[in-house]
Amino acid sequence: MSQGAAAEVKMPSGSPAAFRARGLTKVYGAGESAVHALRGVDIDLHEGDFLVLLGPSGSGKSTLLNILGGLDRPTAGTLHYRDTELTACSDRELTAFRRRHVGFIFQFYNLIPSLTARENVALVTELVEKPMVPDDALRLVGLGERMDHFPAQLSGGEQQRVAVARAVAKRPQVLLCDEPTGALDSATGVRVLEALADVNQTLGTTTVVITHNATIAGMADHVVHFGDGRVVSIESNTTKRRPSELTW
Amino acid sequence: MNPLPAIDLKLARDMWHRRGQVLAIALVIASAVATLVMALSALRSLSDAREAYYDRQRFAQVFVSLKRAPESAAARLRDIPGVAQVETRVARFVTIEIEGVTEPLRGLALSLPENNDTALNALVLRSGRFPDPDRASEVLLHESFATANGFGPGSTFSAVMNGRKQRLVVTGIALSPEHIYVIGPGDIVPDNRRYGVFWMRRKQLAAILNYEGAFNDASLRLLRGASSETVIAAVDHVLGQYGAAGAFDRKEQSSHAFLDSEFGQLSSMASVIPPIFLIVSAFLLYTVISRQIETQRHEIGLLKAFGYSDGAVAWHFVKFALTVSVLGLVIGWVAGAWFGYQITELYREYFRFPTLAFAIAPDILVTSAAVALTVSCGGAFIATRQAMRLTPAVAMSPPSPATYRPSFMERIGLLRDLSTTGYMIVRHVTRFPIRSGMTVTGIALSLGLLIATVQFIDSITLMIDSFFFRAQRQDVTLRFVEPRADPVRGEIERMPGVLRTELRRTVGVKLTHGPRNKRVAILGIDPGSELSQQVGADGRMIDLPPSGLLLTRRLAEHLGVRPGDEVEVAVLEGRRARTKAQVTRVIDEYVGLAVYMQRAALNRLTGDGEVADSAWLKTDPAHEVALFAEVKQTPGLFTIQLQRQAYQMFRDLMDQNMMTMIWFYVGFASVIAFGVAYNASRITLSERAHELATLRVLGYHKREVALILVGELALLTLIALPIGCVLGYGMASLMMELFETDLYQIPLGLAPATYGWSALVIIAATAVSSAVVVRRIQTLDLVRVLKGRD
Repeated sequence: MSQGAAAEVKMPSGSPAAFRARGLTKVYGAGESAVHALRGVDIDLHEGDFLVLLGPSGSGKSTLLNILGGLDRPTAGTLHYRDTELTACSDRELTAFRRRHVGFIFQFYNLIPSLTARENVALVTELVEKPMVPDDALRLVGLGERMDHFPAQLSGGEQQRVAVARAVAKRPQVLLCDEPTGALDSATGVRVLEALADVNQTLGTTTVVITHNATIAGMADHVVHFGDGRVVSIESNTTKRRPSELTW
Repeated sequence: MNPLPAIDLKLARDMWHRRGQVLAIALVIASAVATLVMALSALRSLSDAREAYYDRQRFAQVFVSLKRAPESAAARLRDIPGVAQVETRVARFVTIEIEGVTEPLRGLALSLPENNDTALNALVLRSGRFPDPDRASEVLLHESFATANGFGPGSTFSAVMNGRKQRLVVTGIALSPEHIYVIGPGDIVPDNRRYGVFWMRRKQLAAILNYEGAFNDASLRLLRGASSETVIAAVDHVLGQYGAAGAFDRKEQSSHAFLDSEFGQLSSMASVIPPIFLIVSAFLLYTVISRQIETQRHEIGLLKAFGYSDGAVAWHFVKFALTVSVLGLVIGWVAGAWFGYQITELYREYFRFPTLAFAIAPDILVTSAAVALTVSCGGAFIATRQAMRLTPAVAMSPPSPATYRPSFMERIGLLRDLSTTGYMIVRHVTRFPIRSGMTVTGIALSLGLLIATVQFIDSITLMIDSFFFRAQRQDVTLRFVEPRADPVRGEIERMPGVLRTELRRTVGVKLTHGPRNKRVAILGIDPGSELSQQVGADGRMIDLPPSGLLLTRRLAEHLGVRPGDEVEVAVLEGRRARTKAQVTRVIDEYVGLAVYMQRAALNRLTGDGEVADSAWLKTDPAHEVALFAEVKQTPGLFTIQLQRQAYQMFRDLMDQNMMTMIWFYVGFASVIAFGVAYNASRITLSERAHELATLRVLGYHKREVALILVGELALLTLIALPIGCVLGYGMASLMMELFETDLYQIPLGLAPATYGWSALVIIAATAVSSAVVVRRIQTLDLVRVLKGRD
């Protein structure tokens, strides 16, 4: 465990770093109304890691996730993904980065209501070179039987699993999940987490999960605690728990 | 302290937030109001000017021309019951010569009334003075000819009258209520440079024309309440023996009739076009307010929870519509006033009034306001019923997620190979069929309006081509002073450059069928004519039957006759024969109400022997100048007209007026198309911001995301185009029917290119509007959109 702000934070891992962030700072607004969302974050994320970000609302974890995913830019600091400096990329390059490498999962699923489960997945597989067949991705999350249903015909858990299938179908190197179980009950949440764990293990996808739910930390390789825009601490689990062992 | 109640502050901010849409809708309303104000105000200004003019100058109600009657006959006219005043005069069409001009010019010489201050059709002196009663060569000249030729008091010109060339001095420039619209006999458009009206003292004109103590033209004013029909019958009775060509009502006086036809068109414009704009604006307000209610469910719930009544909430949204309408109304009033002023200025060139001021009557403003506000608020009110029905609890819970299903086309197996984003487009369109339908309707209406107005060029070209290249194919028309016996042909054929000569006879008649009748002229043509062709409804040429009449469609409809029916023919000149003739065919001809007959048959009808009153010629342009010179020296030929000039005049008039009008409507139609398309894209964007942001997050580039937005509009536009073409055809037919007068009927001549150009304009307007909206995709805040559920 090492301490936050200025010191470089490294997680014990044998694999090379996927993300390398140095001095990431994000300030919204200016002057008196300026809000410091990140106050200089240094962190390395390794290939294949399953990382859980914990922290109170406004602690900066979502801001970090958005910057990692190329949805937002830091006010200061650098961020590398493998050999690419994301902080130096244009909008267009960031879009290409998301398109090729990143899968997103959000608390409110963000499915396209006018497309069926299969088509929502196809939305992503049409963009990349060697994707999964949408049907396979849906089977992976246990939705083989409901592929032709529209979002309005699916339960919340099912919708979130479609979102997971959509995120993983392009075989991304990185999976970024913002409160993926936030809107789900415990049993449904567990099914979604299982899907995430499966993908992490079978595809070796670097996975970052934001949650308020400390229980989920048990299934992570590393748990990063956020507070007031800084990394407060990092724990590494020596033994990871299966999602099915988690309840809340 | 805010001066506005909080709820109105919210309204103001909502409007500012949607200022693009507010402006787009306001412009559509403004177009309706502007057209209405322009057409009605111009109409009112013109008709008021005409009424005042007629009143002040004592414009006559009944007119008659005749061969020659002794002045004593005037007393008998005065004795006719219902007649208030009679004015006799001498009138004669003449050839005019201006130094240095070789072309033939024509004029109408009229005698001045004894006392202009009490006379009928009194002149208005614009400059100079009345001719001296004792000087033989002095004339007053009508302003139109004077202006076109740069004449003023002191100018001189010559007129060939009674075979003698008279040198005339202009003493003054005048206007006459009889000649507000100055048009020569046989002309279809004014030619101010080549046709002019002038007045001489009666004593002098009568001396030149040998009309001392006689007259050949009379005007009558009737007592209030007198029937012009009865008076006309009595006048015809009194003057019949003097070769009168049949008295006629003011309605048939050429200048008056042209004005009437123009007034009719203005009022058609006011009745056809504004409703289209108003329907579109009502639908735009409906969609915008529906969408506002959809996105403001929470706020509506909150307002209701705070105790605002259903009515107060509905009123809040109707106020939105009212404000937009008032904005549109004000813009429309200003634009309408400006357009109205412009169009009145344009009329000033064609209609000669002593004063023609453009004025906007308050009642027109009130009418336009009432119509615009009622219609647009109607659209808003229908939308607000949705808000009234929401209960606070329901309103404050999020709307249930939109349910979609495969579109009908997918269910029947079409669209299988569509991309995923393609499905998004198709399903969104079919998910909201009413709104999609309204967008399609709006775009289709704008296309229809454009086609219906641009096609005026096609249709008028068809009309004019059929007139110049079929009905009247001659190069030159020679009119004789008196009907001449057929041997005149040899005399004409010997003139320089004459390639072909065809003799014509024109006779004024009254055709009667049952209770209906019409005064027209029968044109007698020899069989085998090459210089005029009559064409049936099927487009095939028709040979003139040995006896019997060919009637134009409008005249046949007016009289209620069909081929095979008999009509009574009362000749209005000469021996005034009465007989019956059979209608053999109905033909399609668009200028005037033509009636054709074989010349021999017509001559038999009048009992005049083998005579002609004009000759139509095909000539060699190389000998034109020599021909003109020869004609000027030949007694008995009264005027010469060149078809080429008439055609050019018409084209010029069309280019000038029609193009102005076309641009005007291209502007209007683009406003609708832009308004509808902009509104549709904005609503789609607000509805789908979330989806579009999701796609951006998933790695779709801005261009790809924009395609979804543009694709939807493109799809709707694609559907709207054929519908708009059909609507355009229908609207064009309706307009042509409304614009039809006895002077001309405009055939529907929609050219394929008109559909194409109109569609291009509409596509451009929708493209611009989507480009404006697409720019907003650039500023989509991905993070904020994805964080929450709207």
